[in-house]
Amino acid sequence: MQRFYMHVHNGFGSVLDEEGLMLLDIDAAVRCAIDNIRSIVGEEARSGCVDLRG
Amino acid sequence: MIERHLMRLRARDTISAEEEAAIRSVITETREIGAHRTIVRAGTETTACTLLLDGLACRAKDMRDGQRQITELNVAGDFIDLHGFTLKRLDHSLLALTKVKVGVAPHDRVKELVEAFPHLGRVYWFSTNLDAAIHREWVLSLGRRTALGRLANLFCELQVRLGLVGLSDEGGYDLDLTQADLAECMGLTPVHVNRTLREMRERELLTFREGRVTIIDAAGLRKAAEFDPAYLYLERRAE
Repeated sequence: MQRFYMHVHNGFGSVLDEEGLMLLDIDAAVRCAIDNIRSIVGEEARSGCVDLRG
Repeated sequence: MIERHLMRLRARDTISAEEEAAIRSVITETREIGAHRTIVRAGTETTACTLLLDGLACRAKDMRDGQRQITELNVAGDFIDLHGFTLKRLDHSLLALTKVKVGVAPHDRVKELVEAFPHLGRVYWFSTNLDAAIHREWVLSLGRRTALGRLANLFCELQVRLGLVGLSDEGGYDLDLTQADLAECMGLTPVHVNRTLREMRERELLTFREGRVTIIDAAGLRKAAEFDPAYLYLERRAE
């Protein structure tokens, strides 16, 4: 297990991850990053304001 | 040892000295359990109820792919699985989120207690009904609130519940949880929680840093959450 930090940079600015997540490997981290972004974009889509910049 | 539990009960009802002594005698042993350990695994037949004396615990259900939904957070003074007294088998796990201290209340002792003191039977029936009310509020959050509304409601709820046992004040409270824990409570991802916390900070509602919740704008936070403490049944109804 390794600690991965998921920083988000987009048009709203940057949100740094100070805590990180313990994940098996880089493949798990990529899957996790995609899942995390989908969660945010999903809510943005519901609110009617999707930010794909950054 | 069970002072927080008594504070919680006495916030809503009168508990006599005799009842207090009887409740104390129900706890046969105390155990310390490390953070992130399972206290009772889902599916287990239980013969005792677990009273949380110190720390944070939760009820949680797991998906096969590793996703976890926390269905209620428990604070010091809560019975984590009082419902196990009648259900006997838990459909969910009990997890320690921080290092915890728990008291063990064997079911046969609880049975003797509620038979000797029918009023306490009603007090504990109320307690499981209150858990159900909290679950309904979380269903509302998970189904209908935005990420910000979900977290705002959770922070409001915890301020009230921790306040009943002397662990919060108007300014905030200690909450030794990670963003991943909050994500598992509110059906979000850790990154989404992190971003939402930033939004709460920028809107000057609240900050959550290094295990401390600092409430900046209590009215604004409640408004963002549509928080109504009615579901926590805070009225005092002495019999």
